[in-house]
Amino acid sequence: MNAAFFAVIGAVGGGLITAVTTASISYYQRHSSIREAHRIHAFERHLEAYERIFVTVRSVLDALNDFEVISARVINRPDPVLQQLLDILNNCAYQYCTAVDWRYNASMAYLDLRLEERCLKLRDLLLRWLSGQRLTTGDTLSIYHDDELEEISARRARALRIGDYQELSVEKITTVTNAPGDARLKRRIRRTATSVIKHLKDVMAY
Amino acid sequence: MTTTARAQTTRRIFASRWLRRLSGTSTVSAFVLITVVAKRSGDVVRLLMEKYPEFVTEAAAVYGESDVIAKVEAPVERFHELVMDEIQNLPNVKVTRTFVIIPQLHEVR
Repeated sequence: MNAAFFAVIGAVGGGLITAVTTASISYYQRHSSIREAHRIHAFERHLEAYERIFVTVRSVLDALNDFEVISARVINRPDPVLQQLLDILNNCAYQYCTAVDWRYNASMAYLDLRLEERCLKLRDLLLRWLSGQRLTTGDTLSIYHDDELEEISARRARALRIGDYQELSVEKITTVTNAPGDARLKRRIRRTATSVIKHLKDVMAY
Repeated sequence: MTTTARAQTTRRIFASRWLRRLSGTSTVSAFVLITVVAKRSGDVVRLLMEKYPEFVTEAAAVYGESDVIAKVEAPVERFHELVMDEIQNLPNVKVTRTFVIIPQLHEVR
């Protein structure tokens, strides 16, 4: 009796284990295929949004490179090209900040957690960049005296008398300066942007 | 020194003497050439005439190197403040170049 009983129990147990395993595998496969289908659907639906993030982050990096190259070359900080490049960089940064914002881009919900965190970290860095004051506006004064042009200080300008010059020239200039901590901030932006680009490429190659 | 160069030097010395004498007079007249942000010349002309009726006697938008030319007449002690602090800081004004008129060499028809 004992042997037959154990044989039956064993057969039932074995059958039960097989049935549970088969059911688990099929459940897992089904769940996995549903999840995969969902991811493909979400990806296809939001591809444009991912492309937008990619384009904006790429633009930020390019604009930052251009700004740094010209910034190192210019002698005169009121250089109009430098101002224009700063403007472009700020605009790209702003575009990126809106591209990864939930209110404008629902596709962020489908990114994996690590990439989402990187995107948001870059947004924080760019918001810090945008909050920095880099343009200073002021007047430069110069006089023509005995047919020679001479730049004068504001203090000396206050003491000018009518006969001291043939021509008095006052020019409003806008100078591009560095905000405190800019060098470190630029390095962090570059590193994080490169990482976002790399991971986003993996997502888009999916 | 050529005749032309000598004449220019004489004229310059003469002019600078008059300019120095002007420091003693109470009112100074000058032409102020103003460079303005694109397409804002009309606004600057209007503002000059409205804001400084006692000092700006004429203002006109012009073609050429500068965008607006204004004729300013102000007391000596007020003149530099008017040009450097007020006209220069009007909206859309980028550059001002001031040329003081030598009264004895100034004729009006």
